[in-house]
Amino acid sequence: MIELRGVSYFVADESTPDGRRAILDDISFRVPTGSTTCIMGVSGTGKTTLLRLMAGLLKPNSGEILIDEQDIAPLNENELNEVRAKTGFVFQYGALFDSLSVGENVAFGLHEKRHPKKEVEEIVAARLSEVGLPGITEKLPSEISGGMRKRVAMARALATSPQLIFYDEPTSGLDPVMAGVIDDLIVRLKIQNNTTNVVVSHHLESILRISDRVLMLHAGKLVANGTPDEIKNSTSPVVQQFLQGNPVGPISVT
Amino acid sequence: MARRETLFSPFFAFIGQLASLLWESLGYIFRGAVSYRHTVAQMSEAGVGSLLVAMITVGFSGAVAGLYLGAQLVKYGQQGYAGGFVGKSLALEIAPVITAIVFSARSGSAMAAELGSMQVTEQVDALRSMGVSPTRYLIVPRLLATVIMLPLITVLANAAGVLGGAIAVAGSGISSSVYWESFKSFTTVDDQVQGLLKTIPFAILIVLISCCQGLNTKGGARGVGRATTSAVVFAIIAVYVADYFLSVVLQDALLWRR
Repeated sequence: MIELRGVSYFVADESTPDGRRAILDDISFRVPTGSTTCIMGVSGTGKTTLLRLMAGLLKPNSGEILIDEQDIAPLNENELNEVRAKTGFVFQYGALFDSLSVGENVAFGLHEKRHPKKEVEEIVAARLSEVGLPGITEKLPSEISGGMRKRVAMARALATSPQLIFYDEPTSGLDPVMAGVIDDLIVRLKIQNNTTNVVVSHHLESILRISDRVLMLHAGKLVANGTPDEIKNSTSPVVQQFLQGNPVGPISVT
Repeated sequence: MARRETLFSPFFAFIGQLASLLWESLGYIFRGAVSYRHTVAQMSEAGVGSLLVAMITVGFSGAVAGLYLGAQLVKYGQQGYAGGFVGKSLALEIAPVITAIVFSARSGSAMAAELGSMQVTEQVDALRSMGVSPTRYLIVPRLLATVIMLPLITVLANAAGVLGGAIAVAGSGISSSVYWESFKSFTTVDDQVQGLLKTIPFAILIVLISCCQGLNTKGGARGVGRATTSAVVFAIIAVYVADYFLSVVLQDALLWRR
């Protein structure tokens, strides 16, 4: 289970009176084990920052981030590495190691955990075919398309069978059929392995298809938290503007 | 209350970051958490790549030293000092420092650029997200490879310099047997050791500064360029400043030993 209590994150900004600007302001929510929570919101509202905080890649300025009841905010890198052994992170642009082949990328976490070599090959092949990319282990990341890189990144994050998985826009830039395949995989992992998933996305169809709960961030604040149906029927003007893609409304685009 | 930023606080923050990277790297090295495959790969990548450039630059530096010294010494009838002067200056100063500068320009810049582009494409975060320390995976192999390779390159560059000097003094009419005799009697083992001892702190400074700049990279391709430039500039400054203080300390230490 993941739980956030009053998490705030600031960046330095000379133009404000106290020299800092809140990217995230007093965020609290929980993601129960074996469920999927989607975080939506317009670009630049801190969705990715929130995901990186939960994965321990950034430190909050205040608040607690509990992963299985353990607050990760005060931990140092070595202690965090133990927590990270049970988490996986799918980066928005893949973040594949470009000096390693696709197969070595997917095998990376397994080699670090000293898995037997024979099993590694099988797991790599299985993960790659799950994301619709069998038989490309020899290719380099620079030789495959952006959408393929993203799916390889997903195979890499899933190779070590993590219990908590963070997805940063897993379906953006994929064709609709492939987006459906990825959505199905997220749902299937949740059911089969009881994984806890946090998905940052603004792909509405996929959000409604995969999530148990939906959060909406706007201007660094949590403005909605409910089931997909509650979100669809929300009376909040911010949520409705986002769902309808209306250029006019409380979300200012300028 | 937020700490007050002064003009020097980024400088001290950088020094602190270098120190903690060094401490962390030493921790991994003493625990034996070292990838030998990556270290060997870095040795050939960084070391062999810099070797030829170092031999050419130090070779010609030796030749220029021989050219000027030869002309002066002949004027005062002191041909017998030529080999010793050239040899001593190469061993103590020219070979270690020029090799360090060449290494920083050729391989330190490559380290900063590679780590910088890994940083901006989130590959460094990907390592961390998989529980792999960027210090252990990226910095330790580069540090070990450089600490091993820089002294070796310096020895070969030094040899090229002495040879360059031998060729150049011939132009002033100093015979090669006089040059080599002078070289042998004036350039001591202590001089060679003192020069080589300097290369180890140089290696540590170059790698840590370059890697630190790489990991601090922000803002895309332009950020990578900026990190690479400042890695080379800072490393060269650090090498020269360290060179002075190391020379003071080492000279005294080697004198005191006798």
